Amino acid sequence: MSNNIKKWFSIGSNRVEKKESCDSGKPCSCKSEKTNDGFDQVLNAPTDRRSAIQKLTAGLLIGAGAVSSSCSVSKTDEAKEISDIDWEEYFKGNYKLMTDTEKQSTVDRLVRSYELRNDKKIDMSAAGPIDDVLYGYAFNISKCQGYMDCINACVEENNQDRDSQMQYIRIHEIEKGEGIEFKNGDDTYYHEVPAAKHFYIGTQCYHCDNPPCVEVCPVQATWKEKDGLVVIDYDWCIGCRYCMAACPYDGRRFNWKTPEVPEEEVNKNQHYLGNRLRKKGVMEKCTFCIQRSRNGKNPACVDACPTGARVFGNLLDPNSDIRWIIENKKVFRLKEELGTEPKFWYYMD
Amino acid sequence: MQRFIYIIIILTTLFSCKTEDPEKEYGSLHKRIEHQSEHYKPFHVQNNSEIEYDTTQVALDTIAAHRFAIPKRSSIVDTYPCNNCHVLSVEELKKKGGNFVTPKDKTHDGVSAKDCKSCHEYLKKSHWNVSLNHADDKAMNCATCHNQEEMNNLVSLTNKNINFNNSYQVCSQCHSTQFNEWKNGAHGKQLTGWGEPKVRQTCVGCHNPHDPAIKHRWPSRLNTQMIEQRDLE
Ligand code: SF4
Ligand code: SF4
Repeated sequence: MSNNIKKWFSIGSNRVEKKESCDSGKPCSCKSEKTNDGFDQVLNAPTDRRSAIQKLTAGLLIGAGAVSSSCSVSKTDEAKEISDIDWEEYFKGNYKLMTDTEKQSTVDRLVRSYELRNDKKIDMSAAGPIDDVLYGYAFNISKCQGYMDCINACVEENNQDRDSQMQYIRIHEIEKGEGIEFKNGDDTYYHEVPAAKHFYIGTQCYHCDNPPCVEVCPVQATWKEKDGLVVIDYDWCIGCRYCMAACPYDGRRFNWKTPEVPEEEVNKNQHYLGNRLRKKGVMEKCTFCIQRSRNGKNPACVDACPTGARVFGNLLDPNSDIRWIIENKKVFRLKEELGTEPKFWYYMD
Repeated sequence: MQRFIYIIIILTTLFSCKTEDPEKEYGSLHKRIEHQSEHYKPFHVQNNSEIEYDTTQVALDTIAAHRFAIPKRSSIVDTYPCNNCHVLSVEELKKKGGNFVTPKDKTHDGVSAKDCKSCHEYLKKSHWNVSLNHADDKAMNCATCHNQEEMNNLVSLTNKNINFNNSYQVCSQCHSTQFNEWKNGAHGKQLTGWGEPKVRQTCVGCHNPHDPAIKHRWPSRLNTQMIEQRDLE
């Protein structure tokens, strides 16, 4: 594990560089008393000369920002609160390592920060996995008609950028008789569906039980939760895109620009690891709508599908629909030979 | 020099990350699922949807897997109960003059169906435009599903009454494969979520019984476009 500590350390210095674009700063005095775990993670990590210099520089930059903001009389209380929040958010630790209280306080900070900035309340949850639950998904290839109602629902539910093409779900139109060959598929169709002699297959993150994307992340910003969901801490991700390269299923999406969601369309029911508003340059992907699924609901795509091609459920419930499908239908998973154990099964009528 | 350090870092990462994942001890996902579900306790969802459903779970047969609730139908059909208008059986109405409708309120006492026009210039028509696009007329007509004697009910092939709320019993007489898949969850749709109580959409929730085929239509949006980092062989 000593190796891991080193990884977080290097993140500390990397993240500091990003701070330059954030001009808020912070009133000076109180910050050395912070008992924030992230702070500790950064300070207590063993260091080498190179990163020590990096950190010093970064510290100077922040210090300078803080001085300038604290000395300006014009700053209102709200602006001070915002910069307080930003400061604490900036030095918070990896969500995966936080205690439940720490998780709750970062969520509270984010909610408050949104309220200060946009004058609107959001509802963000830090709900953890439910016991005895392992989520799984099944997709009926014979039922999917290529309507793409699921993608619309997903974009809205998960506060995805409205212009870019980074939807978490893709629907591929493939000619029958060619097997499932994605390279022969048409991903940009726009005509009446279903087209004759074609079938439709949806792909998204499969929440592998043995996820290669998690193993390659240099900063452990992505991991598998106890209920099987593979999640990302958007505040810890450095945007290196290793995980994207490691995913054999095209499951991950990188946002090259700050996602733009019109204020009135923002889904205010959020989860820290799910659909909260992301910043530019982090990895995103399907989370099986963690904000819904941990509440007992089905993901938005399952609810939206008009053909019933999508089935979601608890793999540990022997009476669940998904278990019946896996045990009684002819199911398959993509690239099973890789041993990634995706929790996403395809089946046919 | 730098490259050398990176290589070492990568190598150490590779070898040190040997998973201490407890899941690994099962060897495969299926074994893990099997083992961990032995002591499964059901998770109860609060009713988080507006759907009105029978809280008494429908037991299609005794296997626990088939216990789920279905939404009520009679409260969605706005002209139900049918005998608000269809007081008499089809046979009797035909004898009386061929019109299917005789309102049963007091003011209409003694009025026969032929006399409507003497008072009403315009008569509101209800579901007159239903055309049947379900199998062919050798197999199906109105009377295959609707009880002609007691209009408030559907009817089975052997002339037994079937409640509108249990319309799946009508469908399952012919569509037995789909019925089997539906009751197990491979056909159709869960309504309230993945936990207990399970509520499942009925046949008529998705298929118009008079025209059951799922229609061709335009996709609801443009699909994704290939973006540069995309590489799915
Ligand atoms: S599908 Fe890709 S992104 Fe999702 S868990 Fe598997 S490897 Fe990771
Ligand atoms: S892009 Fe992926 S691999 Fe890189 S830091 Fe973010 S989650 Fe980890």
